[in-house]
Amino acid sequence: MKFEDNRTKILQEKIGNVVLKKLLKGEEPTLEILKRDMSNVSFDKNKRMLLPGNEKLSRRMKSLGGVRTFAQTVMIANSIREAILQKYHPSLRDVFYNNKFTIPGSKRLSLDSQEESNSIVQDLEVLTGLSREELGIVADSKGLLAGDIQLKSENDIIDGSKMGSLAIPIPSIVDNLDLLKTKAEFVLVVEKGAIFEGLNASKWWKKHNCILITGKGQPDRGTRRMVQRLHNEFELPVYVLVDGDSYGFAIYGVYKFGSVSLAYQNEKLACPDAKFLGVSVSDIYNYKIPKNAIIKAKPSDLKRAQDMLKTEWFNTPFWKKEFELLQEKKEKVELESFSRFGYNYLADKYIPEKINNLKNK
Amino acid sequence: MSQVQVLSKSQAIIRLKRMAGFDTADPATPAFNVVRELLENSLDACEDGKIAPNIKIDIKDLEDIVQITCRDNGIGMSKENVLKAFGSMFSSSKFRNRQSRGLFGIGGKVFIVQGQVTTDKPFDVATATINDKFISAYKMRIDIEKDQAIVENIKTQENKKGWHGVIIRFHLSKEEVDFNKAHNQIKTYLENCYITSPYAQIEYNYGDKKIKIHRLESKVPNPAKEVPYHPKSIEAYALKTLLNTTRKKDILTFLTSLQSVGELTAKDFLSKYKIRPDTPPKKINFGQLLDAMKEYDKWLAPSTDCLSLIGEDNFITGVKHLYNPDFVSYASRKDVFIGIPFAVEAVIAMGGDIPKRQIRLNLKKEEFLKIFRYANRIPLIGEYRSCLINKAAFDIAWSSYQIDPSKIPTMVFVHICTTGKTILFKDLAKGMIIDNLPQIGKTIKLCLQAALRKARSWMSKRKQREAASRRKGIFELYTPLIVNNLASLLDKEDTSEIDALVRRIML
Repeated sequence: MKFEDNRTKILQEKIGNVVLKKLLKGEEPTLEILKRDMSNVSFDKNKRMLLPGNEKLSRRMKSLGGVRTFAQTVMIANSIREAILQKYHPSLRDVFYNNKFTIPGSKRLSLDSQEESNSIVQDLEVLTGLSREELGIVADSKGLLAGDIQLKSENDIIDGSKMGSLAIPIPSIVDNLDLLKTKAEFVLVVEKGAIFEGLNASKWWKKHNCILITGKGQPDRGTRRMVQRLHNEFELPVYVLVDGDSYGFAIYGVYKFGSVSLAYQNEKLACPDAKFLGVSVSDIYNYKIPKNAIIKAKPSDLKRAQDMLKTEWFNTPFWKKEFELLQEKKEKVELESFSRFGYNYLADKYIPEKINNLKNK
Repeated sequence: MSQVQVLSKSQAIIRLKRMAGFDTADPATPAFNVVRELLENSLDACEDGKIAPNIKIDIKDLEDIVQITCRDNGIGMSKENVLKAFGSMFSSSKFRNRQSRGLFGIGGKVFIVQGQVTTDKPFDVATATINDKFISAYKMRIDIEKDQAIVENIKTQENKKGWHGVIIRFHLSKEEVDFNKAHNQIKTYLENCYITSPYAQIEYNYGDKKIKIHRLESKVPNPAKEVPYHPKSIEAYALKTLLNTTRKKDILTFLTSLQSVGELTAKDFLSKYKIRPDTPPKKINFGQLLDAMKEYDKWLAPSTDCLSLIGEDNFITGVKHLYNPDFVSYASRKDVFIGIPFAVEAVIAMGGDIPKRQIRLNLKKEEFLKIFRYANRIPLIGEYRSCLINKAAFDIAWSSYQIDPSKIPTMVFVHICTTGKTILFKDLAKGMIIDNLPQIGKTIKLCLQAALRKARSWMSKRKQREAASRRKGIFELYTPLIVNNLASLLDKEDTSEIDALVRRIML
């Protein structure tokens, strides 16, 4: 691993020594942790992505509200360091169980739920400046990739064009892969796993000379990192295809601008040049999707659209028009609704046509 | 011994059976009542002579009857008084204007008569007064028709050890009394004597059920003083008796013999109601006089000196002995309403060995209070939610004294003493104090609040202490977690240095 030598030292330095220095001075130690909520996240116009501000929270050792999380932070920092030393790659759940026990002399658990330890791991990411992946913690990966691309994992070359009907699983730690070369001309990100499977089965990527990617819904870090690397390293345009509803638009937003909760990682994960392919609200009417293939939008869909329009990153003439149309019509569609026009309509008509439109803009 | 007065037969007879509890279907009630009445009589007899009471009550099961023996070391009785007191069913030495335990002093005798009727056995009285050379033992019956004592025989013996007191022995039918069932009630009552009379030693024996109350205090309080009736509060039958038996020749001097009445006030009263000052008391219009006395508003207030309080020291000693609380505070108030003097004492006790009350659903915080009620130095047993004392306690906003009885076990003790006993009780069961006078409720509340003010400052200090120790506990809990992981993170095998550093900050 690339960071192997440094990581244990960074953990010692940024947590252990920071605390020790204060203790030696006879002062109460605190850990200064970057605030990770909406109040400390803003849209960076130059980088065109969501980035954290500078606000920090002091985690105090001697405060009733702070002592528990302070102890948990030191405990999990130590536990992660030990995993690195022993060359384990624990999952987030492993980290949880490894540190969960009843505190002697009480009925209190050191960790009540995995949410607690997950949140501490995020704290350690911002404290050390190392990502979870860099700290060697693996997560469930669910992203898939298909296309004519050669990757190197350890000493093996993986050739995407020679996978038969299979797809390459995108690991949670994408930075351990080398992206060698590709003949593809663009990247198509598909929200839904089933649509991806259909396109891969018909070798759509070969016909259209592209790389297909899916994050199966809300994308994990690995998938997003892969999209960003493909764009940065091969200068490929990225198109995002999602359902024609607020949830789909939000997923597009995560690929493009990053997410609020992981704002401190967005520079590694977001792909601001990604383009929205569809399905847009206006497509419902431009493509004349039949009434009975359209779904009535729920109040929560409308509320979500309203909230998104209020954000700086969705406040563009295009999205303003789209969201206004949504508020007016109160209708949404799924990608599969194009099948009303025939099974091959989405693959052979809609996607190529939309890509052409974008290219010609 | 003071004069023994005579109640009208019909008046008393109605009250008798109810008082004894023989009219209820539950044989535990008369069993409890007989113990209570005997004990109260004996306590009064001791306190009258400022004697530290030694009282022993023995209950013995004989075939189909129960033998009851009560002995005390009180002032004893002369022969004349024995015949009067045990001869007439309706005489009483307590039908006087002073604070006493017994309401009418006839409680004990009801049982003797009832026992005589159902078992056909005579009863025994042995007694010696203080410095008596002889102890006299009477075997007696009561002639109920003639309301007279029949003495079957009298034996006397030399009083070599200088004993004084009274021993009574009589029998009751087993069908009418159940001392097994009454035991818990009797026990509660006797234990409360630690509070009402901590200077008494009491033994109760019924087979293997034995209760012993030890003496906590050697000091016996002064007996309650007898005072003349106050014109505002005198009751009709007492006034009638006084008018008929007085030696005063005219109404003016009769009036000045009443409490707090001077010659000027008496003259003003008589002229206002157009009564000739020289009218002989026997010839006065009784009804008119009574009404006028109640109406007249210039009587001076009666003295509260005649009331016998438990007192701060005794009260607190008793409560501490029984419950060993972490906190106890006392307050008292005296007041006069419609010519009747009242005194209220209140004690608040919290924490310590006070048991936590069981949590039931929908219970308000106040309802977690354990309330103990006393009147004229007798415990009121049983829970009466509508009792004036309970109402006063529930009427207080406990939270404004920082006390949550559902969190800290809290006990409230309230003692009311008065010469106006009949004002307090609805019936002679002595269970609850009735809402006859809202002013009494207000006085109880004010007195409780005075005791609570002391409790509040203790409570807030306690809360501060608790918060500090909770804080310390939390820091102590996480200290090893921090120390061990920090030492390991910094590759230090010896945790002692880190431990010392962390503890210096934390604890």
